[in-house]
Parts: sequence; structure tokens; C-alpha cells
Amino acid sequence: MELFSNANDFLLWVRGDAFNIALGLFIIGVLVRILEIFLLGRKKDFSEARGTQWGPGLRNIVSRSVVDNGTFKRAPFVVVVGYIWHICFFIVLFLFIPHIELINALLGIQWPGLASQLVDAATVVAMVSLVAMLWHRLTHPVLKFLSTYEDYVVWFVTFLPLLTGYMAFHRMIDPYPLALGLHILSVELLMVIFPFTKLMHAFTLFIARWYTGAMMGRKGIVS
Amino acid sequence: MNKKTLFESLQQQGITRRGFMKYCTALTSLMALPPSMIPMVANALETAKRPSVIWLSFQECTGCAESLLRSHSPTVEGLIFDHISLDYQHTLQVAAGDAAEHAREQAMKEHHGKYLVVVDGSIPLADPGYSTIAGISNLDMLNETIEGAAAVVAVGTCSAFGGLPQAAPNPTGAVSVSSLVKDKPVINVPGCPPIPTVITGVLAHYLTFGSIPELDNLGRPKVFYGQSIHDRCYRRPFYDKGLFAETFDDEGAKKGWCLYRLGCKGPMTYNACATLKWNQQTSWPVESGHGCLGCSEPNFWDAGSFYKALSIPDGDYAKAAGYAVAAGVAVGAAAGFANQKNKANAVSQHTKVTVDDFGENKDK
Amino acid sequence: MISDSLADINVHVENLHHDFETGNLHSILSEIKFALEQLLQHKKTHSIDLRAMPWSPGEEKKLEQYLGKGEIQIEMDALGKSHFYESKYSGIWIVTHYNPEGEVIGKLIEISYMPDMIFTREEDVKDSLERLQQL
Repeated sequence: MELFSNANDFLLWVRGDAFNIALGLFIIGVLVRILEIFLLGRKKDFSEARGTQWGPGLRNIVSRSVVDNGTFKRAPFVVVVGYIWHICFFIVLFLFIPHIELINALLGIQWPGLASQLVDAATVVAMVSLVAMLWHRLTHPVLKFLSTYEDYVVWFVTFLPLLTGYMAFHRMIDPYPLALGLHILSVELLMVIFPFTKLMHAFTLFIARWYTGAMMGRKGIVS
Repeated sequence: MNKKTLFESLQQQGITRRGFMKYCTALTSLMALPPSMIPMVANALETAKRPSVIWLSFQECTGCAESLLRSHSPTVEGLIFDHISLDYQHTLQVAAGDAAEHAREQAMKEHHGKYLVVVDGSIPLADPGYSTIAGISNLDMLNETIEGAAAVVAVGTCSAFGGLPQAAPNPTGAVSVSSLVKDKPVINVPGCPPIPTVITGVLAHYLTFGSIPELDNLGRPKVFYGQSIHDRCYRRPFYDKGLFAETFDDEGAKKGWCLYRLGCKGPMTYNACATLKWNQQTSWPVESGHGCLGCSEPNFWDAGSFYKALSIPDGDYAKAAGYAVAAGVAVGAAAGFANQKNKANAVSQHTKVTVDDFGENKDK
Repeated sequence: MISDSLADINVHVENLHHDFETGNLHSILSEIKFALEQLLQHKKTHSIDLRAMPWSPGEEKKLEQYLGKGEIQIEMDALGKSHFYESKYSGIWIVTHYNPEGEVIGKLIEISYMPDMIFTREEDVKDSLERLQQL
């Protein structure tokens, strides 16, 4: 059976129905996960508050991004490569003009982008850092022991959009509609598994940091 | 009359060897072959025979034929037409009615196995009545005519890929030539319309070498459709630098920056506009400040707005997102309350464990 | 008035800040340099089809200006005019073929001691001898 008669057909589906499905699952998944967290609530704290919650909570969201010395000493590789990866990934995701165009279409907001060559370089660094982290995971005995099937799936699904995007940009797959279609499809795959895996940390990180900060603030401790 | 070689008929018109070489130079350029091929082209042309061409027009707007005929004449293209025998083209031929159909049948008989069929327009399958010629349905005429053809040239996006008639909801059930013709070589020359020199270039290739050029996976000659508009675009450096026009009259547009954000489909479109250009090489869409529509690609009518960047999805994503938010809130709330209930149950059913529950005391 | 060609329509392009560098100029110049070496070492001639290049507006003119005009210009009249001229760099010829209507149908750079088309062919010499003898 021929699913698509040509690469353009495939691209059309990927940009149309497939995107709608992926976007739908992504939104549903993320909302369910977040609502579950909030609706479960926390136990009422009957003790007298010694400080405010909001300020320290918000501050904690930011301040926890600064690496403390202890963590760095324990796992310098994870900290350094983790930072490089996240920064490069954000450059690629948010500063490539075609991506900005997409975000603008979806959310109606836009900002200036970077020259494509810089984004290209960031893509390479991001991919190298991801490979380095996989290598680290596979060679570090404790990490390897702790790693589950999900960790590898998440790694792979995160790596794919970078790889296909790089290949599409450099036109390494012929014809281009197939290259672009594969790139978008790989992102859609990422969107679909996102809410149901550790990738949710992109959202839950803020909740967790806020709670920690808020709790400490209430107790009157500097977070 | 058809027995004469091209060189002989040129000589008869008083064309000298230098004239012939000049013709070969222009022809080589037209076929998008490197100048080092000129001697080969000359060699081949000295023995080339005038091929018979039957041109069938189905569900089309005549734009493709216009593109070709309005191209400068008598030029290389003109010369090509002098040297093919266009035996049937119902818009152009003098004969009409039975006489016209007779001309087609005669050409088919005389040149059986050797003639070239050019098709512009798509073929309706939903009801043959949507398009007929002399009471013959397009499908029947196509089948009948290609039976003895050497090859079929599908000129224009309609005949190559279905084009406008095939666009959703495709009321006539239009299909492309290649979806019907399986046992003959089909050369797709898409474009809406195709570049005239590309049409003649393909015919010239057949005339010169008696064979069909190398094709890509969509049946398009690689010499013309081998590279994308984006690859050969002179505005490409701006794409790389991240310099884009955001409206048709902003500073970027005036400076000739990349038109990607204005919906240019150049990256996914394979055609020769950037090099061959249009109107006697005057200009081409991107040079005139408008993005590429992608007219030489399948489904280009259904591929969303001409003015939406290629990276933007073209479905009704706002609606999809709306439903998803509603569904997400509903499911999330349900799950949340179920969890709360679970938690409450767990609390209410909680029994305290005492030291009596452990060890030896347990059995008492 | 009905105009015969697009050139008759009085359209002029505003000279904007179009100073594109597509890199074509560089690649053509290095192709020319390589071809000149080949001509010197192996007597191999080379042609470049200028119509197969994705020029930006004005870029082709820039190349012509860069190469300049040398001492020799040849005009040929066969199937319309053709102009041959040597650039100010010897061995680089710019060839433009026109049709009888004066439209450009071919434009090349030839790297040779003399454009091939200019030489008289032996067959043609024999032919003219025959014709003269018949007089």
C-alpha cells in the first residue's frame, strides 16, 4: 500500500493533520499532568508563617539555575555539558528564523533571530553534547545502573529533531520536502511523548522550584 | 519530408556551418548541458530526424501552450518547432473537426512506435463528460494515442501532477498522465506554466539524442529540475545571514533580502527559474520581489497559503489547540479529583500501626 | 504602438542597494584562471555558459566590467549576429550570440587562442574551391 504518493504528500500531511494531532496530544498531556499536580494540593500548614511565599518562590526558580559548588564538584561533567546542551538547544529552538516564524504563527509573539550559520553551529554543539551525555550515561556505572528504558527513548527522541533539522538545513536528504517532513515529524514525535516522560521537567521544574522556595520562605530560611 | 536530417534541412535554408555551430551552441545551452557538449550535440544533430509530435490538450487553461508560443520567435525555440513535425495540436492546427482527428490518426499510423506525445492538462476520471474532444473522452484519447508512442511528455503541472483540477475537492476526479501511463516513458515538465525554454529543451533533447533525459524521482528532467530554487537563488546569502523581508515594502524588501518569511516556497521547489529566468531572461519571481509559489511541485495548490512561511503548519491548528485545551482541562480535572478522592480514601482507611503488629506480638 | 520585444518597453530598474555577492564571480574567475593554465599547458580550450549561472541583478555586468575590453572585436553574421571580443586579459573571449531579432540566444566565455567558430573549416575551403572552379 502506498501511504503517500510523493514527498510533497508526506510534507502536506506532516504540516497538516499530523501537526494537529501532535499539538492536541501535547496540550492535553501537559494540562493533565499539571492539573494533576495542582489539584492534588498540599497539606495545610498550620504553623505560623515566618515569611512570605511568593517572593522566595519566584526567586528560587531563578537562583536554582546557579550551580552550587557541591554539585559541581560531585559531577562537573554533567553540569558543564548539561549547561552547554541546554543553551545551544534554546538557541536552536528559539533563535532560528523559521522557528520564530512558527512560534509567531502559533502564539502571535516574535523576537529577533540569529544568523543561520550561528544556529547551525549551535546545532552541532547541541548534538555533540547529547552524544557526550549518552556516552557518559553508558560508561558511568552508577548512572548506567539507574538508567531505564525511558531514558534512552527520551534521549533518542530529543536527538532526532536536531539531526533531521541539521540534515534538512544542509539539504542532505533528497528531495527537500522529505527532509523537512522528517524534521517536522520528529518534532511531532517529541511533542507526543513529551508529557508522558521526564521531558515534562521543562514545566515541572518551575513548580518544584517554586514550592521549595515558597516553603523555605514561609519558614523564614534563605533558599 | 520527414526523412531529412536536421542538418540537411538547415543547409537547405541556407544556414552555413558557422550558423549550424551557433545553433548547436544555443541548443546546448537550452538543454542546460555544458558547452563542452557542443561537438556532441552537433554530431548528433547531423543525423537527427524530424520527430512527429502529437499534442493533446485535456483539462488545461492553455497557459502552458501560451508560455511556449509567446516565447520569442523565431529563435532557437522557433527553430526547434521548424524541426519537429507538430502533427496535431487542436488549438494551433488549421484543420478542424474530422480532418483534425484524421491528422492525428494518420500521424499515429505513419510514425507508429516513434512519435512523441505531448500532453497538457489533467484527465478527469469522475465522469468522462467533463472534458471531451470530438466526442472522445480524454482518457480514451490518451490511451489510444500513446499506444504507438515512443514517449510521453507531460507539460505543465496539471498533466504532470494533476495541478489545479486535482486540487481539493477535485470535482472532476482529475489525475496526472503518469498515474495512467505505465508502459511508456513519461517525462514530467511541471510548472504553472513551465519555463518555455524548459519545454523546448526537453523536446530538443529528444530531437538531438533520440532519447529521454535523465529524470528525478518525480519524472522530471534532472538538468532542469535537479536543483531547488533556494539552492540557486541569488538571495540565498541573506537567508544564511538571517536577513529577511517581513513585508513586501519594508526596508528588507527594498534591499532585496530573503523572502522566506513572506512565504517563499523556494526551498522545496525544484525548477530552473533562478538560472533560465523568464521573458527573455529578464527576471523571475524572486528577482521581482515575490516569493516562489512552488508551482512545479505536486499539490502546490493544496499546500497552504502562498504567503505563509514554509515552517508554519497549514492545518487548522488553532481549532485543534482549542479542543485540546478543553479536553486537557476536562481530563486533568477528572484525574485530579480522582486522585484527591484516592488520597482521601487512603487517609480515611489509614489504620495506625502499633508495636503489637510486629514480631512475636503479632501472633497474639 | 505595439512593441515587438520586452526591450521596447521603457522600464528601468531603480538602482537600490543591490550589491549582492552570490560568490558566482569568485567561482567563475577561478574557473577562468584554471582554464588559462590548462590552455598554456595542454592547449585545452574551455567554455563557460554564462546563461547557466544564477546571477543576481547586475552581477553579470560586473564580470564584464572586470574583464574589460581588449584589442580585438569580431562580428559574425550567421543566423543573426554574433559578437566576439577578447577581454583585456588575452585568451579570454566573450561571445554573445543573437538571433535575427537581436535577442540574446547564447552567451559564453571562451578560453582559447581564438574562438573555435571563427576558424574556417577545411570542408568549407574545399567547397569554395569547387564553387570557384565551376565559375
